[in-house]
Amino acid sequence: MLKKGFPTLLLFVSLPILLAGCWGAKEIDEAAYAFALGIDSGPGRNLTISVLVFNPGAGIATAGITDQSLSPGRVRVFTAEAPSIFSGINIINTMLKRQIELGHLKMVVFGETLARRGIESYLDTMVRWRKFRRTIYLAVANQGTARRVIESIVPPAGTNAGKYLEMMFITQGFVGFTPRNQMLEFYNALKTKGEVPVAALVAPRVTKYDLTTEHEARIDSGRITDFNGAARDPGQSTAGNPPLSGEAPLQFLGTAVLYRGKLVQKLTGYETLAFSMLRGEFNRTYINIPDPEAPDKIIQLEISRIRRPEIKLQKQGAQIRGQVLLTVLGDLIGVESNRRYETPPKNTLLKQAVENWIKQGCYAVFHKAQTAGTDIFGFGDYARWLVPDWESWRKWDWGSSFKTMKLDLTVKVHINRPGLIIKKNAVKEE
Amino acid sequence: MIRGGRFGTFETVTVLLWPTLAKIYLSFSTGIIQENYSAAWLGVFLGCLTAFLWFLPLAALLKRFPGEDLAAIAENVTGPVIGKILSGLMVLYFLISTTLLLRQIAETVIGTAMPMIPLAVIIITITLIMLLPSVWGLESVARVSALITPYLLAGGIGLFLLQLGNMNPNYLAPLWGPGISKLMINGFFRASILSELVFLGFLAPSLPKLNPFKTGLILIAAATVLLTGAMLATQMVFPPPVAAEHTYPFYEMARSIYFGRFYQRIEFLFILVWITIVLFSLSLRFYFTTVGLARIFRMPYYQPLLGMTALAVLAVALIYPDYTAAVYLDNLFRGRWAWGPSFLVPAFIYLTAVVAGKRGKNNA
Amino acid sequence: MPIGAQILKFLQFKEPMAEPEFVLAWDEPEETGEGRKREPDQILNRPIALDERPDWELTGDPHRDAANFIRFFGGPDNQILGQRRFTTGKSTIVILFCQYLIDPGQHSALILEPLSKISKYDLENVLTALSSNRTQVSDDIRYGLNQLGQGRSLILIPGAKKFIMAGTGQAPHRPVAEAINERVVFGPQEGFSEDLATNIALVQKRFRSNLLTVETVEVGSMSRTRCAILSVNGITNPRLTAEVKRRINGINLSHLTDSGMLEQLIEDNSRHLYPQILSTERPDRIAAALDEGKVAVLVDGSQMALAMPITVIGQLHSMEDYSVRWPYAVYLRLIRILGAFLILFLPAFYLAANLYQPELLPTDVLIALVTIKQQAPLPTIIEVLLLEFIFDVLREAGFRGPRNMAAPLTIVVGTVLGLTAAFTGIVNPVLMLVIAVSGIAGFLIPEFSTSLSFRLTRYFYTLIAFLFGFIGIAFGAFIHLHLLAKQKSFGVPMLAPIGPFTRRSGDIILIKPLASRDKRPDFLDALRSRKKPEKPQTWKTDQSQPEKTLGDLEGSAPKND
Repeated sequence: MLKKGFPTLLLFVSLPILLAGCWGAKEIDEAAYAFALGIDSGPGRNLTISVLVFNPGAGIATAGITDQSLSPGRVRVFTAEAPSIFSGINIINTMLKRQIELGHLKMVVFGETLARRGIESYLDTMVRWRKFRRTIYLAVANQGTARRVIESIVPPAGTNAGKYLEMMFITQGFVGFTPRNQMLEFYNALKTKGEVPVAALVAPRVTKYDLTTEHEARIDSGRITDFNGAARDPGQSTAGNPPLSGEAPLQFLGTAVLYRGKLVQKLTGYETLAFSMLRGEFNRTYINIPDPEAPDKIIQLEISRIRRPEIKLQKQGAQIRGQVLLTVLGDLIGVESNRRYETPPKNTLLKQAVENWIKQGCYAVFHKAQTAGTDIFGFGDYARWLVPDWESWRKWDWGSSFKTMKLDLTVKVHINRPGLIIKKNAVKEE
Repeated sequence: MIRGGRFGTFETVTVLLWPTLAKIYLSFSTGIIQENYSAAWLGVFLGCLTAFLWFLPLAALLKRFPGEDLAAIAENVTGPVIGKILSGLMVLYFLISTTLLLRQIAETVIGTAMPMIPLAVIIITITLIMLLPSVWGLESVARVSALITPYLLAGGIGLFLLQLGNMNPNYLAPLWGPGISKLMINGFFRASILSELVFLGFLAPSLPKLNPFKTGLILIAAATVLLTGAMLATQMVFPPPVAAEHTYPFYEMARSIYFGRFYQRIEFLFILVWITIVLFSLSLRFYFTTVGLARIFRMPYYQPLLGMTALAVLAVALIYPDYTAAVYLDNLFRGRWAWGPSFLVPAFIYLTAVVAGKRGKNNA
Repeated sequence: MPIGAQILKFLQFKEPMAEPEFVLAWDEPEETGEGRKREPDQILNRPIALDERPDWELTGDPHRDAANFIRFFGGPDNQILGQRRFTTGKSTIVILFCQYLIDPGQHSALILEPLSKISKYDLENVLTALSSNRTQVSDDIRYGLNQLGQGRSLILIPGAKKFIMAGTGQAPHRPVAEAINERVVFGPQEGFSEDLATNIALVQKRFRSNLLTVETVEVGSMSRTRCAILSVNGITNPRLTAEVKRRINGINLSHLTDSGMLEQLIEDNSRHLYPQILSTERPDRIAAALDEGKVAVLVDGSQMALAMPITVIGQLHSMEDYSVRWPYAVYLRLIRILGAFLILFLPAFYLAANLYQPELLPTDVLIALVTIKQQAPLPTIIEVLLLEFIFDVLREAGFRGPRNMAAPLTIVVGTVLGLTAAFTGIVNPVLMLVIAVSGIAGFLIPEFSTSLSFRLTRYFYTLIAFLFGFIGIAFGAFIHLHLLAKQKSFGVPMLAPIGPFTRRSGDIILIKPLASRDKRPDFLDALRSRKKPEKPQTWKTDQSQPEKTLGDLEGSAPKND
């Protein structure tokens, strides 16, 4: 190295680098972080893009506790009409002093009409642009527009919208009425023959919903299965419909089945539960089954998954035969009739009742999917093992094979713990 | 003379391991899946097996001429003209692969981590960093790579393990992919996966006690396990139609990690891991290019060649019109045809040596 | 003076007095041999050339020899040399000593008093009479002059063409105090003082074997600083000792200030970011280093001792790891390594995450940061650099300020500044937390030079994170590792034993239990590579000794019934 000229040389080389500045460095307060994106079909070929953007308040932790239980000031919603997602975002940026930054996006909602038209073409952007991750949640607005959903996202006080949305999705995993709907699974299912993509159904909530006057009119009339028989069970509806009251921005309930990107079917809450069980994505939830000995009373259980369902497919001639073994753990929560279900002989009765209930539900949703020809359970993936190579897989029309598939379902329920009461009415006084 | 310094078997293995594994972190999986569909991992495995078979003549050649590098052996065995042509072929392959790798790294950095940086800045910076280990000598590179191997392995394998929740083994079916015969042919060409084994031939003078069989076997075993495992993991998360589209498969894997509200979007920590790996790979390839050139022309020192070779590499890397072209050429040269210069040439030299009965100076 | 006269004096112009100007340069007088004119502004009676050699011989007449010696020191006006003459009958002995370098009490007791009592002054009598413990007879005048400078007394004896050198105590020095810069909770608190004899004593106290070797070298033509090279005969590799001696002897310097200067002079590469020599002020650390096979150098007048060779991993070891129990030692080591990472990378990560990858931050953290940053006016890089700089300023002020003000100063000023900055919103409080944590993590590093080097490297990482984000940090780490790997410290690669894979000694990054740590580090090539017999706890496995029962004890008691 030149002893004399080296420092000068180094200076000349490094000065331009230092002076040219940082490339793409953006201070964090120069960006407006978008938490939710809504895409609707607009007039003509256009789309309506709605964006929910975080509004940083001023000051350090001096934001006072507001009296309202929801804090509308923390978010701002913008809507634009544009031919594509990014031209929509661009035009929204003309109004904002900060640029919209999609790195922290949590949810993308599609309007129902757009979903029925098909969303496959819009998914390409979401997979190609690096700010869209495959961990974003996808949802379809039930009986409404995505714009309405986005506008009604007003997080409760003390939270920001991003936290609210994420926690909603994580919690729904424990409720069981929505499927696993990240873009990873969605896109995988879109591209493979053996699966059909699903998304959650979401609806905006009307604040201060009143039970007595309005719920009659809002029950979903498209209820197909009624395996409860007696009272209306909220799990039998889709989002926005069940009788509820209380202030919350959104409700997630039900599944939208998007075969080849087009909305063809909706599943209610319980159907989603059964479908998750068959897919092995179910975690835990509360169910109520009619009491086997007193059909107008109800037994409540908490069921959770022990292991993934064992699925085996066999090819018999032209027909596929599937054997599924579901193993589920149940915890007894409540018995309305005074009967003793913890000890034999009644606990086997209870077990069978639960097993039958689950079986009925699973068969019901299976038939529903079969009639529509949508293999939402992913049985096609297991069928891949039945062919030797790629060409034969490509030639196989799995949709029609699925329509004639026979399912042998075995459900095993283990009810291990009876809760805090080990023997109901063990000692009676009268 | 060109002295490499002292280092042992473990360091040699790691020096050769990282250039081999660096492929995982670029577009290697995509190309293989495009050819082999769901049997991509089988293709990789078969490629490694074939490479092991091709490695045997190379190791035997090195054992026959201990302490000499391939350029000298080639000239010794086949005469000055043909020897220079043969070793020139090898060094030409090194050079082209270095330029392809440089371009790919620069474009990957821009595409994933820093979108707005101009290509010239990043590619010149990476070239300078590529130069430095060769300036400082192989000993320091070998030590650093031996030192850092456990942590890089932990990071690299950890990434794949974090995706266990998302893995679906059904994506590995149908088992034979494009059909058994096509799979075998692809596997044969994929012996290029382990084409970095030929670097062993240029390391030989620095390691007088080198046992090429032992080192090569350890390397092949480790690389087979890791490459096949990486391919399996990638395939189980993304089915073939999805995985064949990825520009940056490893990046996509890292991006999909999601364990709740806090443990997501952590791909940038893995970027640190992979960029260290690819920088190693690049600087070692560059070192071997320069050393190979020096040895072909019987130069005692390779240091004067460094600046010129770096400039040449930079210039060629900038010639490729865009990233897609670089990936395509990479798949073609390094993916399918690298077994030619790496394995065929040494095998040919070995055959000639056996036939002509030539042996090394230090050998009995 | 009345005010009117003052004003008048001020307004008038007066010629300045003619004073001879003071010029520092000294014109060289012409070479006229003996006739050098005495300049009025000469320091002493006789200027001495720097490399003048004594060219006279001992005559046997003490007066004349003493006059020669005194003239060599610049003449009788130089108060440095003291002299004492004793006369009995016709013979006189002269005792010369540097009067400030001796201990007056010991001098009187050991030399003056015995000598004043003997009757006849000749060589054997004087030697017998002297009760000083270091006496030597010599006729080498240069050696004698050197030893005068080292604080010994020169006794000139009539009739003998030799003189006696006797040791006379030590120059005033600070007593052994606590090691202030390297504190541990568990372990000795002694630290080196500035006297070489004391320091060697402190080391030998912990290494009483007969194999300990001390060799003294003088460095510096003016300062004649004594440096002691300590090694262990039979364990230290003799080539290492020879190399250390070679390097020290090759120093051509006029004044050696401190061991730090010596460290820079014998290092492999003093411009490298990391020290290649360990400097410590704890004698137990030096003793442990000697036992491992390293060479130690103690410099007179300096509180820090040097040990070489050293590796980067060795710089992160502290003596406490050996004193506490093994599980705690592992925990301490882990914390220290974490601290090292924090100090290097935390500000850089913050910067890269803020500027380039806000997606990396969890959403809640991001929201908090954005809300706070609404008020902060400065761009992030300026904030980071400013805070780092201020933290370093505070730290240095704490060190250099008056001792009884240091702690309150740092705390009060730091707190006040911090709170002010937080309340006015000039600086991001999260950033202050980040910088404070990373700065305090720097105190975890047990060795001062290493912590300084980490603090310096932190700035580089910050800059490169500003330029290139996380990729820049990866680039920086790559280059940093290579720089460490290629540097050698006395022939040992600095990243050994994990750099080149040498055999492990059970004490590298994490420490193994005491029973497993029985090998010396391989990279030192020590002559005996196993420290102790294989099982340091033979009492655990050796069951062959009969247990002492009460009967035995009774049997050994004196019988008196």
